[in-house]
Amino acid sequence: MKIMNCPLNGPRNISEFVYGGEVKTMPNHQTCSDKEWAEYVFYSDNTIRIITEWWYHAASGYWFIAERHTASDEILKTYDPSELFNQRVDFESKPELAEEQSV
Amino acid sequence: MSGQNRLPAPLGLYITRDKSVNFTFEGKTYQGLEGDTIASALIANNQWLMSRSFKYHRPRGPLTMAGQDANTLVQLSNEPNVLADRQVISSNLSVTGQNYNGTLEKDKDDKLGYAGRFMPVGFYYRAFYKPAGVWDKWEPFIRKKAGLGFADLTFKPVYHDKAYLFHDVAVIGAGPAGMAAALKAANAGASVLLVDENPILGGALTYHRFDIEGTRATALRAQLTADVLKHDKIKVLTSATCNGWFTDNYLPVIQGNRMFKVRAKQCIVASGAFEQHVVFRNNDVPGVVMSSAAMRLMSQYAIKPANKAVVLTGNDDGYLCALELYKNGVEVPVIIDMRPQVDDSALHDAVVDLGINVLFNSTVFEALPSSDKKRLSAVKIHSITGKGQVAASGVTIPCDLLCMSAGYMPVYQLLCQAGAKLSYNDDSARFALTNLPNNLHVAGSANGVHELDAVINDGEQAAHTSLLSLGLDSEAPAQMTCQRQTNFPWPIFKHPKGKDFVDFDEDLQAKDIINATRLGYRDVQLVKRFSTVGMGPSQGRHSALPTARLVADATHRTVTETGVTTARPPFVPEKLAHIAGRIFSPHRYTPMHQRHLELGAHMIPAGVWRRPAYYGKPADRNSIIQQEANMVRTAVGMIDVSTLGGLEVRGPDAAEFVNRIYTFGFLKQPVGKTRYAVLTNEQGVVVDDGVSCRIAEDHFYITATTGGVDAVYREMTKWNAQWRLSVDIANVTAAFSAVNVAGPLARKVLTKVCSDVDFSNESFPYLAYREGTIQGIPVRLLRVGFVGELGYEIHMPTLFGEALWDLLMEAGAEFNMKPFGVETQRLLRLEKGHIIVSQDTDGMSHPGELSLGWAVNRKKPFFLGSRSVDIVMARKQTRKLVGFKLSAQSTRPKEGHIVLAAANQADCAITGNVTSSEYSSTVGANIGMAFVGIDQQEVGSTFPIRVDNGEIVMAEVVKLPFYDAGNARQEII
Amino acid sequence: MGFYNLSSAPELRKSMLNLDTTASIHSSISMKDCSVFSRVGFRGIGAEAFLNANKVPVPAKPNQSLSFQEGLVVLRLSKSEFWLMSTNNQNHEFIAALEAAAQGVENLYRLYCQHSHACFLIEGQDTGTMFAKVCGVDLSAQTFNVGDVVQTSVARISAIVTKQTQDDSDYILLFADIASVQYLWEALTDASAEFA
Repeated sequence: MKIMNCPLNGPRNISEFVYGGEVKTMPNHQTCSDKEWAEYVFYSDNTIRIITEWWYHAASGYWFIAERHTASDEILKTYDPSELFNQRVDFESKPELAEEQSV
Repeated sequence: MSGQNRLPAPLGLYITRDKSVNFTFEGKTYQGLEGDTIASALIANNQWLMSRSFKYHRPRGPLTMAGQDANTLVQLSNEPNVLADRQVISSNLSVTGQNYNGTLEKDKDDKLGYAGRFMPVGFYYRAFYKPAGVWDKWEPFIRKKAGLGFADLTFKPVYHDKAYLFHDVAVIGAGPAGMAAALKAANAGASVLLVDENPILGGALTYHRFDIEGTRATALRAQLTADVLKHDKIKVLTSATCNGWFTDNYLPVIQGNRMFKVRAKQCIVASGAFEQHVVFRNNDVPGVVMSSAAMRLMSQYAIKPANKAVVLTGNDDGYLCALELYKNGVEVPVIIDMRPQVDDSALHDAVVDLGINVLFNSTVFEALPSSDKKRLSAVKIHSITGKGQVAASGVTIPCDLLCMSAGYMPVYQLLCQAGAKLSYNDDSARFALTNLPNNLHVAGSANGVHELDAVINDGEQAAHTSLLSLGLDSEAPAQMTCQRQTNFPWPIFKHPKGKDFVDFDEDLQAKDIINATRLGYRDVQLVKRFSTVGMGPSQGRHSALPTARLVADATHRTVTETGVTTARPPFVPEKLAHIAGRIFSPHRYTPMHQRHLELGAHMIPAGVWRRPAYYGKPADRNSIIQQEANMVRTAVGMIDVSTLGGLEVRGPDAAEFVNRIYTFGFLKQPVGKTRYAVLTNEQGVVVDDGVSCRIAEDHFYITATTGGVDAVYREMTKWNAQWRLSVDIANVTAAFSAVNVAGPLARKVLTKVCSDVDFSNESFPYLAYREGTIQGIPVRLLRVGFVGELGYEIHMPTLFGEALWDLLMEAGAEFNMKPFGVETQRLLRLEKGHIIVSQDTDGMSHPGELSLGWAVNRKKPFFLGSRSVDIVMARKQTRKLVGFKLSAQSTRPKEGHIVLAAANQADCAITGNVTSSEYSSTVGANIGMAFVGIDQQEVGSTFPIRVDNGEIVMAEVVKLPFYDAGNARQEII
Repeated sequence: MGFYNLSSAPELRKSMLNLDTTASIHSSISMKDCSVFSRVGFRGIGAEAFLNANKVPVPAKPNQSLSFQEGLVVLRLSKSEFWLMSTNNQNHEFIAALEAAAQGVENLYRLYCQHSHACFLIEGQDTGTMFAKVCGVDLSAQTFNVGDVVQTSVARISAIVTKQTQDDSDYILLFADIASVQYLWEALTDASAEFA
């Protein structure tokens, strides 16, 4: 069984982890075309290269990022997501945004 | 003395001479010694015939004495296909042969051999291919003729388990290379695991003769073994098989009833080499064995294997075998050397001095069985005239044993599983293993090294490399090379009358392999699949090399070009019990579990949880559910809903975060109120739902579905790893247990136990959230309407769950409150038209199809599925989830039954399916929910459902809910 | 909403482990259910400072634990998550006071570990070998040191394991899903049975 190095917990059996998909950049959901959105949601390149993926260590509830080669399956490095995501993300209001009703 | 042929000590490393063991074979009692295998004990008693071959039912005896051939497969009373040369005898063990018709001695099916020429390679594929269906008729007959043992159907499971072992270095194979590697690694401070499939350490040192005097192996084995066993950094596993190599040196090692899952930072495979046979006519007659098998019989079991033995060799090892046989009183009239000359002339001189003739450039062309076919009686020797060619006439020499030494093939299985490439030099006939992954090393004869000093050196080299990778100090051993030639390049002498076996397991002859290439199968993998070569129990240990040679020759290529067939795990057959181990089946109980059992609940699995379906016997299911439902509708009932998922979102950005995750608007959700929370994924599919409680401006408590909460929590934390909002997200599913007290009398029950909350409709209205205490236990109170009556969900920290259940049951007693189960709850919510996500939804359901548009705020800037929901909602809708009704007398559809576009049209489209269905005594009809075509959704119209046996029933579309359309019962009182 | 105190009513806590249905075994490994012993957890970027201010020492690195005072153990599960456990069940007031003190502190979130996780205290020299039968991380005496914390899978469920020492005797604390307590206890009992 493959071993992956968790940035928080160290090397562990791959069975302790949950795959979280490739790290993708969400297009602007208000301005992109339907096709761009569909590509973001549904398509993966699936080419031979180093890809950046989300992995989750189930026992500690910890998400991190791994760089893995799709042909050799070698995991080149793993790191905390704060290395890629260090800015607060906000979504612009829709132009026609109406007041939310209190229920 | 057990058996007539025992040799004196110190021979017999495996046996204990003063302990005899009786067992039966084919109904006859035999006596062996403790440590004997079935095969050695039988041979000690001159019983060489042990099995019948798979296809032609030819008599067979041991070939390797090392568990590497299928000739020794026997039947135990409770286990088929046991290797007689590995299974140690025990008192009263009952052993029989298998795969015969009649008796092992007189197999009526041995005539199949004469039909061999009508059964060419690929016979079954070609003969039973047409007409269609003919195979089904023949199969039972053929299976019977070619069966391998029988399974004991009264078998009782035996406890098997697994355990991890963690070591710096795992060494597979405790021969000279493995022991040298283990010692060097351990001396440098590494923790070492040394694994060997044999009962004692030593590998080839336990049987092979390495020098003319015959003293070296014994002395070296004693020294290495002593050093290994006293070393506190080495853990030794004997009688243990490493059955595979998996990524990052994950090694399953089977010993007894336990499978060790070895985790090694470095792995050294010193698994040795398989001796190879010579292909000639009748090379399968009992008494034709590998040289190593004869030496194992003498050294390990103290058995004199024959009276008169002939050695057929392609290397110098055959001479050493002859010396060993001679020393032990076996007459050796001749060594037949396929080569033109010997490499080490001293060996030649030594055997000639003993009066053993040596015939160079010669081979056995045919073995002659005794008249009863049970044992070798003579060999026919021909001189070699070319590659695979022999002179027309030869001489016959009587003998009862023929020892073959054609060379060695590395035990490459584990290494190839790791991705190593086995390459073969067609000139030197040497193998090499290359392309090993990091942290995996090969040493000894598996690495093509055969000189004893070089073998030890090779082990130390592998240890040195491992130690450097481990960051431990290590002194490099001197470089040493081994030039010893062991492989004769073409030990294949095809006979015009055949029965020159390449693969003993599958009864494949040289011509079968050649014919496969002529039929167009040039690829060695295709030859394997067509001919079945290498597919038998020995998995190509002996057939792979001659097959590769024959295919290469027939297709005018080199063995390097053809390659050999792939070796996959397991290395030896393993039992499912080993893979299963003991059963780990995690399951979760709520704190009220014991109470449910005491109340006679029928427990059912709900994901990993166990939940009460209803309280009573399954035989009374239908009536109990109606009774329980009636209790909730008319009085009060209580259900354990502890399995509900629970999530807490806290922090300054809590509302913003919840607003991005769920479809509704949550920024303005008032404190003390609950809101329905629907979760869509990025594809716009509804994947979960729950209730969001706003406990404080910066604090939300959100329920989720039992099966979905872990995934929801994962998604939430993953999104916030990107969004970086200032929130804390916690999965509190297990921390909170909950009950729902529901029914017109629910308030009366609650007010009895909870004095610090005003339960009046004005103070605690529908969809409100309150906190309070019940006898000091802090509780969260949600006024909900899932089952359509006045109802309160009471959430409490789990360690109080049972105490609170008891308090509520006691308080409810005067109102005849009883618990109800999850199946009753499903009926009650169905009457209210509430969906259960994953029961009434599937992987395509978007909010529009589920009529959940009201719970989607499409004006807020973002939620997870917002763009996809916009896209799918703008498209033409194809189906809709609707409520339906059928009369109580009608056949009730089951969940999953399909909805058709038309009732009386055989080939009409399927437009949907039933998602929920139950009889409702409240409604007085069969009710349910179903996906229907978009044009079938009109209230009052009917649509066809195909139920069991193809019957079509017509269901009427009903406006949801079925019960209390004005929600008066849950909201107003 | 008022302050919802998880430390309240400790006398009404009841472990979900039912030993009546569990076969008792003779083993050199002893296992005690400490699920009702007082515990509290904190998380958030303010957690370390809060604990320091309340005179609770914390391990320097994630996945470490330490003992302090009489019978108190602190586990550091990540940069910003800490659990506090009373191994002798004598420190309830201290833990309740700490929970109360957390009220209203910024960047600090109480955790519900008292009620979300069962807790076993395990002792015996074969403990490491027993764990090798249920856990893929090496918890043997040679590699698993006092003060180490391992978050992993034990008998197929998520668990937090730490080693601490008292009176020169090492013990292991295991925290795992409270709803699986019966299952886990039985799985560990079975794994311990061979160590007489």
